[in-house]
Amino acid sequence: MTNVDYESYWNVRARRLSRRRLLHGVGVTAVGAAAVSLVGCGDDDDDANEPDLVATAAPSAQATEQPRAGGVLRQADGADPTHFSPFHQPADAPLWNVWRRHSGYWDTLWSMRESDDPLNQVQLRLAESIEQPDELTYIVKMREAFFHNQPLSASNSKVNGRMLTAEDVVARYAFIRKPPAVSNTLINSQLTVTALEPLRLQFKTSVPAGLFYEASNSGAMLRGQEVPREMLDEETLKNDVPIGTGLFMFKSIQLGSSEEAVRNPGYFLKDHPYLAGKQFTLVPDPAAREVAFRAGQLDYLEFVDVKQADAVTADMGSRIKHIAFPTSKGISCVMNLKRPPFNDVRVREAVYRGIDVDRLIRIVWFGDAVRTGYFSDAATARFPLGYKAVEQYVGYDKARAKQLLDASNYDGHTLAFVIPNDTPSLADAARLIAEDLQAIGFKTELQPEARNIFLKRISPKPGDFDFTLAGLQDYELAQSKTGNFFKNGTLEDPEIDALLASIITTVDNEQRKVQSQRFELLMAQRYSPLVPLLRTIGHVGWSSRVKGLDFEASKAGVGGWQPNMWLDT
Amino acid sequence: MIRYTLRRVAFFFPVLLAASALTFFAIALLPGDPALAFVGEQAEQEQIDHFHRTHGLDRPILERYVDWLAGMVRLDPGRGYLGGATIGDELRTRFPVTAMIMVFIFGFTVFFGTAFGIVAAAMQNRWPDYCLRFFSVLGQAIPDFYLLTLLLLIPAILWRYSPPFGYVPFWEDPLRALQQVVPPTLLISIGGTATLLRVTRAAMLEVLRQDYIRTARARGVGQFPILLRHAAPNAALPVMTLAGALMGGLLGGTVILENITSLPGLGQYTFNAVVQQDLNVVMAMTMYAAFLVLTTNLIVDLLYAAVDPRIRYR
Repeated sequence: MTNVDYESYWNVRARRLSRRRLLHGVGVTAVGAAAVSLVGCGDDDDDANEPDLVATAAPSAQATEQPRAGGVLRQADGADPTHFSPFHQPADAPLWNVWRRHSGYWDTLWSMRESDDPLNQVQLRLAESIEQPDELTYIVKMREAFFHNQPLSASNSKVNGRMLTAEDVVARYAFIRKPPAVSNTLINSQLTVTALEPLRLQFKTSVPAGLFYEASNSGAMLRGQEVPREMLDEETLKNDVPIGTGLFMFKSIQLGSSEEAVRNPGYFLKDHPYLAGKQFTLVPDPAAREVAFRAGQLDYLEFVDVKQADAVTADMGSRIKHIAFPTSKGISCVMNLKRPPFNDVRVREAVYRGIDVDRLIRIVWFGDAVRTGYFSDAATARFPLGYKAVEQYVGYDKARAKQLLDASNYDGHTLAFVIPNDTPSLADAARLIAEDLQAIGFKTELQPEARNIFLKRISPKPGDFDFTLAGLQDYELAQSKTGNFFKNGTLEDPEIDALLASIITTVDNEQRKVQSQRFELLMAQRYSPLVPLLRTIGHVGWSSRVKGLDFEASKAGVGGWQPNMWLDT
Repeated sequence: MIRYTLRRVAFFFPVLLAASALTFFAIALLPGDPALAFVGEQAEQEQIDHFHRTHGLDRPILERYVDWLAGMVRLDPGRGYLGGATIGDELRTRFPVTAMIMVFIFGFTVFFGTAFGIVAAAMQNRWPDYCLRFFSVLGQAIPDFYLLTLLLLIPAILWRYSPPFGYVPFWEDPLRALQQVVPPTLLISIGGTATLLRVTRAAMLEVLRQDYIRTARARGVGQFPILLRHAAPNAALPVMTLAGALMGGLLGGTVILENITSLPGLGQYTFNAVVQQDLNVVMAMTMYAAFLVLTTNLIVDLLYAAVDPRIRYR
């Protein structure tokens, strides 16, 4: 309690303003303004956001919990999606991640799940069944699924509630063949899609397609989403409210800030999704995303790296769950085969033997990556041979590397190591690799470039570089005649080209397995100019109130499908 | 005064035109093809050509400049390379957010900078002066982004609190908007406040040593009227100059603030465009910045003349 002397208004007004009172007044005003500002910091919804402190079982066990519908999942994205089209390329990797925020609006005939067992990779979704009467023909029977629009949205209301038909699928294939939609060789020139009945389709390929399922309809490659044929126009797709048959319906977007989606009550899978909705907030700064997660404003967070994951997990304890998993991000070092000295196989072997990948993982990725021996894209690991199988050819051996280089035709000229300047981890990795290469006798010069200039130097043959860093390559792109960005990473070996052509056209899984593993072995034995180094580890954290998350089945679906997720609220 | 104003306004447009030419040609002549950054690493030539046609990159550079300039005059800067909303729509949607942030930062900077500067000068070499000078050096030394990150991280780690993320317009939820805007703008204004404080203090000290101030004191005029009526207006010119320059610097502040606190303003838009190499947006935003700086300078020039009548008669 404070005693306050009574003073009348007139007494106070009559008092002369002294210097002391003036300064006091200024000081009090300043402090007051600061205090008022800081009062704004008060959290008015602490209780509402209080996470459930009860620890839950491990992720794999969570999936077995009884599904309970409920809750709006709050997530954050690091970049704005800029448009809604599922068929047009966003700018780069960060936007690629953001694009996944929209993937719940649409569904695909089937999707590819990440599995070490290639025979278990196809998941039927809008396709109820697929029959293959011969090597070239696939008959797809579609489920009954309905396009749903947010009822309040006026645009494209004509398709609201309309059934998805085979005609929509046929129209979609016709559309994605035209640039700038994203397509591929199979869709562009080898595939014919015909509507047999309203819910029956025929896919016919001109040559056998060993990778038919992922090449013809993979949602992850921006080409498999089913949209109403009335919307198949670039402007409409990019700017109109998205309409699909997916788990969620678009509700609203605040440009540059947030987006809301609500559950699709008519989703073909009974009771799915369990979530009542999703809310995305744009939080570009990773530290700010962490803050929002710590403060309970987000239910779910993709950690930037292991250090952030460890720090948050240590502080938040049982309030959150955290898992780590190898991502599809493979990193390789590429030599330019068109330039000397890389036409000498001894030089290439010296590079393989001379790069200390373990040191790279330890220093640049804080030990948070795994060594890879894959020569093909690890995202769609088909029949992996594994690093151990090729270690005898490519394992680190500095002394041998030096011997090989000394005996080679390398004349000691400086080699240009060109890297993109927008990825700090690649720049750090390049620096360490250059150190390793210098230790065995190479002279290298690091040349960081802006992304578009980097691509201009790397893409065309013969390419204006000696060394660079890249992702891993898909089978199709590993062939000498095809490929674009990676065409400087192909071995240009007729036997390997023939093998790849055979893999792509071999429908029988057992045969393709033998061929694929032989491909991996040959690439190691003949020292492909694309040196596979490592796969990074992803880290995801989520609040304990998030239940039923099935990461075993859907590693790539983080932020995307999540059909088994619900929230205890 | 009218001639003075007209001279200043006439100067405005050639500078803006020069800025537009410099911006356009510097960006258009950059080495490398922007299409490569947008159509994806595995794009075929057909997709690259389509990108060039869509964005007019296959036309002569002068023709592109004239078209772009005509668009800017019509307040239609076109579209970003990524598609989606037009740049004009983005500007209209995002400007209120940035304007609110700039008003807060500028208000805090000018209010605290001048108030503390006057206090420091009035109490020269006494403890409030020492404290304020210490604060001003500290404020200038600590980077804005560091302070902002601390503002977010410390409460989050200690009390699991963070300002609300997800922008809500001020008129929809004023309290939430203030929670989002006031703490970071207060922090981001510290650097400007510190600089303005030092300049105000120095200018006030110089004026307070003048004969007319001594005369006023001798005639028994109180400290308050001396400071505010006699000294402050005469010390205002360097303070106004600096305040004008700080206004230009605020653009940089909004980029940092909007990105860290996730406010969908023009700073965030510019930052994203730079990161994604969306050169159409970068050009439009550079012109917006040039326009803002030139307008601020024009206002400062006109204020000079209003505050000091000698200037307009030169």
